[in-house]
Amino acid sequence: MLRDGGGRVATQHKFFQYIVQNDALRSISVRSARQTPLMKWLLTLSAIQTVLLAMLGLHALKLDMRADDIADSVKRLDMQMAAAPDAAPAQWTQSSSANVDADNIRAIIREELERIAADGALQNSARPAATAQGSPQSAAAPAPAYDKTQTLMTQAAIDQDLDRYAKRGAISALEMDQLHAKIAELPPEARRAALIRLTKAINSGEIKGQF
Amino acid sequence: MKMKHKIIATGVAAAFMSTAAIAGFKQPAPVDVDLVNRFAQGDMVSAQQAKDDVTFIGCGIRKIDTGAGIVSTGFCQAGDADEEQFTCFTQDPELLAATASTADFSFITFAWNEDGECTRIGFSTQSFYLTDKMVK
Repeated sequence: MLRDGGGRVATQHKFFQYIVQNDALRSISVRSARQTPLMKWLLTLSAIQTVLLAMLGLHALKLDMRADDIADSVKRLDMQMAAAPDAAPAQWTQSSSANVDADNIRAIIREELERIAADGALQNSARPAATAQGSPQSAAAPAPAYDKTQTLMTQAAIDQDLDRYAKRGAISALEMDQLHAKIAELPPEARRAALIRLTKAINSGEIKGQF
Repeated sequence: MKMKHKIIATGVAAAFMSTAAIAGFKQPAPVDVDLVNRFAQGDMVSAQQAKDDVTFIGCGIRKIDTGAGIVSTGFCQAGDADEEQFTCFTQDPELLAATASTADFSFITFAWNEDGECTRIGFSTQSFYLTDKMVK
């Protein structure tokens, strides 16, 4: 603070020194000083500053009004969702601010569904494999545990293989066996997805080969 | 002399007729892949004896021991003379059981959904799919 105050004083001092040293200004009165080029320039700057301040104020007002609109939309949305949770509010397709909210809500719901699906897939994969094959002997077998990281790595390897075979346009019988062995390592849902991708690639002719 | 020839000719004709009667009813089923209605059918003998190098039909199962259990994947595939071909797969226990029931020289029919998963697998093992050469 002291340094700031001292600096200001020094600046003022320099300014007055400038005025004193300036021969053109040394003998003029305050009234005539208004008509000097320096004062004109300062007045112009002041006017521009005032206009800019006014524009800033208007912009701030507009932002404030928009914030109120958004708050109202959110309130209306909340009320509608509370009243009818299954019905999609009309604002979702009419108001841009409400669209943002709807997108957020959709994203949250999507994330939750994915999480539930992932949990479900893991639970399904935890079922004994033989139960799905209708074998009573292995129905009592312990549930296979699928490591998420390992599953992701296997999926990546399968995708890489499929890309390689697609690029080549063919898969040999041995490669098909190896690919099936990798696919078998996946949890049921991921296995199904990999088999769908493989089947589509073969049926479309992208990869020539036999199961 | 003429009478003797007639008797011999009649005997030969009768012998041929009886052979034909022994061969029995035949109903070959050439392989047909219908990509629009998503099904394929045909018998393995007709496929094997087709006069091209693209016709085939069959089903199979892969059983893989992953260490955590046995994973089974069934599949059926066919290609016809028009070079239309399709492969479907299944992990459904019932369809896997059906796939296991295939026999040599069977008639095969299968259908699939938009994901390429088998929705129907059928086999029929009948004498009329066999050829004369196979029974002689």
